[in-house]
Amino acid sequence: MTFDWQKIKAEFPIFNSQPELVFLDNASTTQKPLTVLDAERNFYLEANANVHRGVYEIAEKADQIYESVRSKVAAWIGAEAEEIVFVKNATEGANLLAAGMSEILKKGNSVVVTELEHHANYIPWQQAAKKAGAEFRVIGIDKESGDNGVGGDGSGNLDLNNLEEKIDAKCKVVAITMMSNVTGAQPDLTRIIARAKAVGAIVVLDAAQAAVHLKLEVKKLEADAIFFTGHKLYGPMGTGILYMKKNLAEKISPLLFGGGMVKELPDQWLNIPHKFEAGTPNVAGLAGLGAAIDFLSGIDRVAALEHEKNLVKLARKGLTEIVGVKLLGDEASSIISFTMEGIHPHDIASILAGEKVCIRAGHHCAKPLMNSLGLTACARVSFALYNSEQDVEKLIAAVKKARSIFK
Amino acid sequence: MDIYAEIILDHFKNPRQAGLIEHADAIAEDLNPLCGDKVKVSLRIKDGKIAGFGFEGDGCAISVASTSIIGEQLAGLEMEKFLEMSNEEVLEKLGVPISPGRIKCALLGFSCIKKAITVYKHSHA
Ligand SMILES: Cc1ncc(COP(=O)(O)O)c(C=O)c1O
Repeated sequence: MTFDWQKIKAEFPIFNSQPELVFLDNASTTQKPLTVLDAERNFYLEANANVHRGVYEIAEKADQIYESVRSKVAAWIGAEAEEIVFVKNATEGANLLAAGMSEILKKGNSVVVTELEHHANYIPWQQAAKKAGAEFRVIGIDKESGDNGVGGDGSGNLDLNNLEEKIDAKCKVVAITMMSNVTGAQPDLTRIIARAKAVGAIVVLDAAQAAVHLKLEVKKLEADAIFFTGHKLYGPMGTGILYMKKNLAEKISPLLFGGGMVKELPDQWLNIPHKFEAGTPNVAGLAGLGAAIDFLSGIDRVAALEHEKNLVKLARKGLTEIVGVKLLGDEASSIISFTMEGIHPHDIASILAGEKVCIRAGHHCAKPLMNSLGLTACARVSFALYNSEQDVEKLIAAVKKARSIFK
Repeated sequence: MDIYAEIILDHFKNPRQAGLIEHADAIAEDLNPLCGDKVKVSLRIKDGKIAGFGFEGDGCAISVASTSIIGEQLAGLEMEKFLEMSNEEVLEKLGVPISPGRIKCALLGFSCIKKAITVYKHSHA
């Protein structure tokens, strides 16, 4: 099966205004197709009114858009509509959960995260544990063997040898990424979730990177909560999704209080999910998110993944051939992080920027992982559906140029 | 001109006054949280003038080279004169165009030296 990336790319207007752009920073945020931009704009053109049961026509339309996106997201991940909470990004999803759980956690309990986490799924839990007097535990990555700096099988994945000790009877929350935003590693969720369930802990999954690459099937995953962010799946910034199982959602307190979430004062909130949605939401953005999900539903995801995989393979091969390049992480992932001897990742990114090749350099908001890898920074290339072999060629040529400047 | 002009590459590969000086009067450390660039500076101060300078830098070419270039121009400079120097003046001294995303790197050494002198001033006031 071939994947028509050209047809896909033509749907993204930024490549009209920036025809030279080689966008390889998709793990940060993806570009947006015209349908997403139109959906946002059309909301303001045709239905701009606040949500929450206005009685005039456009207010009803706004409500209808808002709730239909909720149903669309629910259907997309195999959840019920009432299990979908709109948040502004993945970070808010994690904070809502962690703040809620901090009131339930007790002294003597523990919260378990992993070294692969983005700060968004690390710091909120660290703070929650601190507030509750609970223990904060971190599952490390496997550093025993492997020759590419990430140890183990080379994928930079977790060391699960002591899983039973890390996740023991004290554990009440296991918060874990489905895909590292640095190495692309995908932890063995089946094993970890089974262990968490065996000790009665709730499972929280960070799908910020995974949502665009994997098919999320929340029922199969058996997680209690999953969050992701709209802007990394071709949707607008300022939109995020928090899926919570009903019994968890009913148990925890809202993060935000105010309009649109009160049943009766004091302290009686609307039913889930509305009790978590105080204040005027980003309805236009959510309309765009709905369009992004339509976009994703309309493409052959198997072929799309195959396309990305081929690009990754090509890029890994090209990069490996350049002197001093060291690749990190999982070969099967659409994220390639690397370092280069004698040249700082920020200099690599700057030189590439001069060639219109956009990548990211830094710690990628994953300091625990970077510390564990013994790095302060690395360069990261990440792919999306509109990338092509030409993009990879330009990437490789630009990295070669960086090499020749820093001989 | 390119940001990676010969002057930057030269100072990056062969930083002048590399290494901390002994018996320093003022030292400071700074970090660019964006990219993890680290710099440590040491200064000798005599009669209100900078009499010696040395630094250790671990970071990108821009941060190391800019610290080296500024460091080269310190000898004999009055402390107060240095403190009056603006960010714009420093960027100008580097002689290459610095994009907005790299300004923090370019000013890391400068702000670190400023920090060292300010602390010195306070403790000798
Ligand atoms: C794995 C992971 N989790 C969480 C986030 C946070 O996403 P956001 O900034 O949209 O809240 C990111 C993105 O940077 C990420 O890669």
